Amino acid sequence: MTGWRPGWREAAILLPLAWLALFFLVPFLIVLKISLAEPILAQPPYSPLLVWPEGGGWPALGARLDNYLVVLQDDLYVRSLLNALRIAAVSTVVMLLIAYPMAYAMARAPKNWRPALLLAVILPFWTSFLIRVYAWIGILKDEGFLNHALMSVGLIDQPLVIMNTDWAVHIGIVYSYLPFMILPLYATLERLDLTLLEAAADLGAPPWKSFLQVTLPLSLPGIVAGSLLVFIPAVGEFVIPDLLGGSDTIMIGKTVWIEFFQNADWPLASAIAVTMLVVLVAPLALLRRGLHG
Amino acid sequence: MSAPLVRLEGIDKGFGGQRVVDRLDLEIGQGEFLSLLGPSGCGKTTLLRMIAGFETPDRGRVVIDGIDMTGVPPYRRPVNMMFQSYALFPHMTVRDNVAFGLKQDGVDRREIERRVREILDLVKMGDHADRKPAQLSGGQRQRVALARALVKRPKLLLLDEPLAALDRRLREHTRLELVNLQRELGITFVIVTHDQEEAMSLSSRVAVMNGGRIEQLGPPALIYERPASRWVAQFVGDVNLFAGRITQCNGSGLTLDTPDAALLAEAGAAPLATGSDAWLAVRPEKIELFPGTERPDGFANVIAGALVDVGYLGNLSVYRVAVGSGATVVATLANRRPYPATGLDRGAPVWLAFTRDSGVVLTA
Repeated sequence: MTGWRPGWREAAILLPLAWLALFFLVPFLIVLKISLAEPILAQPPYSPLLVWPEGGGWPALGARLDNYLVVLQDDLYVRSLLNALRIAAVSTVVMLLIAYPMAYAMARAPKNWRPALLLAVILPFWTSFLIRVYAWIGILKDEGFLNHALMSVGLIDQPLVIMNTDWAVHIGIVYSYLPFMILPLYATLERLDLTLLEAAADLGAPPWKSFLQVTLPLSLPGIVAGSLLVFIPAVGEFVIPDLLGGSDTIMIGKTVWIEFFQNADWPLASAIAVTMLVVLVAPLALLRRGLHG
Repeated sequence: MSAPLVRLEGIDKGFGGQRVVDRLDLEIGQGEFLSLLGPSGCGKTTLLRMIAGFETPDRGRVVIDGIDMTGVPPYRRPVNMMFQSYALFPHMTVRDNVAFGLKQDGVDRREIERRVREILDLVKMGDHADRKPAQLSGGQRQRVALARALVKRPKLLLLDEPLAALDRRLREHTRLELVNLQRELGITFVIVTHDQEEAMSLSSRVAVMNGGRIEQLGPPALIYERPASRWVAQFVGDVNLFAGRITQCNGSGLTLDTPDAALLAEAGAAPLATGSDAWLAVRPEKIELFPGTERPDGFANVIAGALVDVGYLGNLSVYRVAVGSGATVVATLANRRPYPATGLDRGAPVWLAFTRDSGVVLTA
């Protein structure tokens, strides 16, 4: 019997916690602090949280909720948040519909094929994300590859206007995030015990029924993991709507960028970021509680 | 005999060029408890899977209840199977697992509830209906798997190594329950096993399989007492084989000339040609052992030897005896007197003795 020394076990748990604290909690607290300030023309461009009176004594708290009031009251921010949620949600559903059959086929492919198929899914990562999104401009623009191909086949005689619309943003998000949906789905489907499907067939379930009653419920963890993995970053996506979307495609990530860099209003931008986080995390926390009784 | 429930006609099946089942014919009667017994790779599981519909034979027909089911998918066969791994649905409760088959058939909800409760009570799992498979012990899972396979009242229940995952004590107990259950329900059982003791104690008939063929088919006692070949004799239980040449064979008996002695045996139904090679198969427990130098009387066959070693098993002892030809003969004796018995030291001279009807003459 060797056994764990208690010190090591605690260190192993502490490591991810330390990571989370250093790279998530601390930056979040800084953003939270800035969101309670007001913009000033200085370096840094926001008022301090604690105002030290001249000549000593207790500092005064310089926190204000004005920025949050602006976020909630100004139609622009609420709309861009809802817009981002909608685009992310639609893209997630589309990805699920595309990724599930792909992951299923991969998991059922002969064992010696699977590494190659897995590699094919990850291969796009070898190219820069930015370049891949740029490439879509060449495909989707009015005189791009897609329109050219469709017109030369004779399916359409006027170019489809896809570029600079929500369509292009959806396509860009689905294309960019698809591997993150496929991989967790593949992982759960590959682990699925095929005798369970034989048992279902033996008990009288034709293939489509055993899919609905056995395969689908047992792959639910993969569906949830994949959906979260693509939905959350898609809500905050900035590059894709910026490059492929039009001026009326306002997503929350783009709004934050405008406030930070165009308007130099760091406190307002921070307040938007905090609001977005709360909107995303609160339902997840509730869902977790619901799932775990 | 009425028409058989299952008829397998000339079944061939191979995987990747390897012949697994080889021109096999088998009839399974209504209400029978048949064991497919054989070493791993003998084709017994493949045969079971072809009856269930998970595999399609390359050649031949699978006829169930008078209907050709060769190409029919498993979900349209009046057959249910209990899997070796049990294959319980991990996301469903015991109740939902058992109800699964009835739901596929669109049975009325109240009727499902009633039949599920009935079958769970029968396997004594009524109190665990709301548990998930992960919350059950191995023995409990086995019962649920059995209930799930029985609840549709199939004409035929296939069991793939149903007791392999249980520990010894539970296995012996469950064996009795399976036999009782089968009698009570009157369903035909076909069980796959590599455990000869299991096949012996459970079934009304045993099919001993080897290399994709059935070597012998018959009631357990016949398989053990009258094996059809050396292979069967050696696979089912332990056996001593005395090789020799037949010197006499007529109505009164058979004489086999072996290096150790001329052994006497009963003549079989088919007369054997004198001068041909044969083996006399004698089970270890049918051989008596006498210490000392005085040749025992009253036995047709007596061979002199020297004790090599003794294996003490508690209820039994296994004696290994070297005989003149250099072979080692095994005799198993019940320890009716307190062990160790006197005069049975290693190297001691002993006599091996068995009666005329103790051995079986084999030519294959």
